[in-house]
Amino acid sequence: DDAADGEVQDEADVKADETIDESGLLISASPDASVTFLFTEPVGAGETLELVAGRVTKFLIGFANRGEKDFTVHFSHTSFRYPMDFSYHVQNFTAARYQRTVAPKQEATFDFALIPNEAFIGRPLGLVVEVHYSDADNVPYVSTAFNQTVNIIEDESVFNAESAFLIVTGIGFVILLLLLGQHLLSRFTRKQPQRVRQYQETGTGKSGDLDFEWIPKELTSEKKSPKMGSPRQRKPQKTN
Amino acid sequence: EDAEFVTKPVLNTARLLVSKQSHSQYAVENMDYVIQYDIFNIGDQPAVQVVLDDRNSFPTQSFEIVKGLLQVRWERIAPGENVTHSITLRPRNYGVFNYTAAAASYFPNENAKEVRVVYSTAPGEGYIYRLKDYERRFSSKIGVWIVYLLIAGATIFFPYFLWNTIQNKYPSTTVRKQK
Repeated sequence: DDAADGEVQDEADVKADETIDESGLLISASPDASVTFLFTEPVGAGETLELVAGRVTKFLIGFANRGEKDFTVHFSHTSFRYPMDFSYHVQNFTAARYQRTVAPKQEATFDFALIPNEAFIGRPLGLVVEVHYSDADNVPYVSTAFNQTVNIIEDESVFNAESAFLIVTGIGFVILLLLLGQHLLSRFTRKQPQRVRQYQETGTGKSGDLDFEWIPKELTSEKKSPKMGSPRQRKPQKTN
Repeated sequence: EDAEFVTKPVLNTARLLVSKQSHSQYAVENMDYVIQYDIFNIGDQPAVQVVLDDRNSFPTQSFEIVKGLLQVRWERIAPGENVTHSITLRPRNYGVFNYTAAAASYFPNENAKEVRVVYSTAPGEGYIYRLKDYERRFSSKIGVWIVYLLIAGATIFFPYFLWNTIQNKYPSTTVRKQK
């Protein structure tokens, strides 16, 4: 790797505490600044290095000024990196702007929260948290607060809709089976007396039940219709 | 395998991280607003005489303290331990408010002479809602339901009333079966 040849230097060659800004300058941590890091959510993530997908991950960044000059903390930048090659950014989170001045012998705490995407479940990812700050002479510095591989795990603690529906369906199925079983058992074990049919629908066969009162009287009074015969036989009847 | 033998560097000092966050989703004038402070000692020595002071953030002309103290003192916070403190406030008026950092002072170990100051996280600018606006969005809206019931009831009971008066004036003339 001869930099004098004019070839572009690979970012992967840069040590953990150093980054290259857009102008190509190497920015490193200030020896007067001490940066600490603590996961507050999920509890114990600092030891297990496991983040829960879909749930909020919170952490605190402590910044201590051990020098003689003021430091101004501008922002923190959090990103997920490809664990085999930390120069490959998988996801960049929005930088958290702080813009706070930390006087000499003073300390400040900053926080950031992120939600790991559920697409990363079961995958190791490099989590890198950088703090960007400058001193009173506007010299920029970058400190790496956290730089380790974390595992993204599935959220198993909470109620999720899928399992709830499965449980409800299961309960319904069990109840259905019980009802079916009870029905079959009662059919085979008990001799049921034959039910006596009290009434059977016979349609309009018996006309006694019919209520013709709504029809005007003159229409319902039965008239014997004349016997149908040949017109020849009828004629003499009329003349008589 | 090497990673397992890596131990934390000896700091020989306490280091405190102070977080300040609100537990209420909305700040509303004359309604309770809960602020929680967490102090974590991530050093390897106990922090002695820790005093948390947040009197600058909540001036009494804009906030009424319902419960809790804005200045608290812990004699000792052992390494790896954390303490939580919360206060309940009531904003006196509405508008944009800047929630600034609280300050905590401590001695970084048992024999330390020099006090250290650590500033907490700052929730930043937030909006304190007007009580009227808040209730317009989140109250139970009983008045709206009563008006709704009155209107809905009118459309049901007025036709019933008409039907009833007709029914009384002209009693039913249905023909019964004569048997």
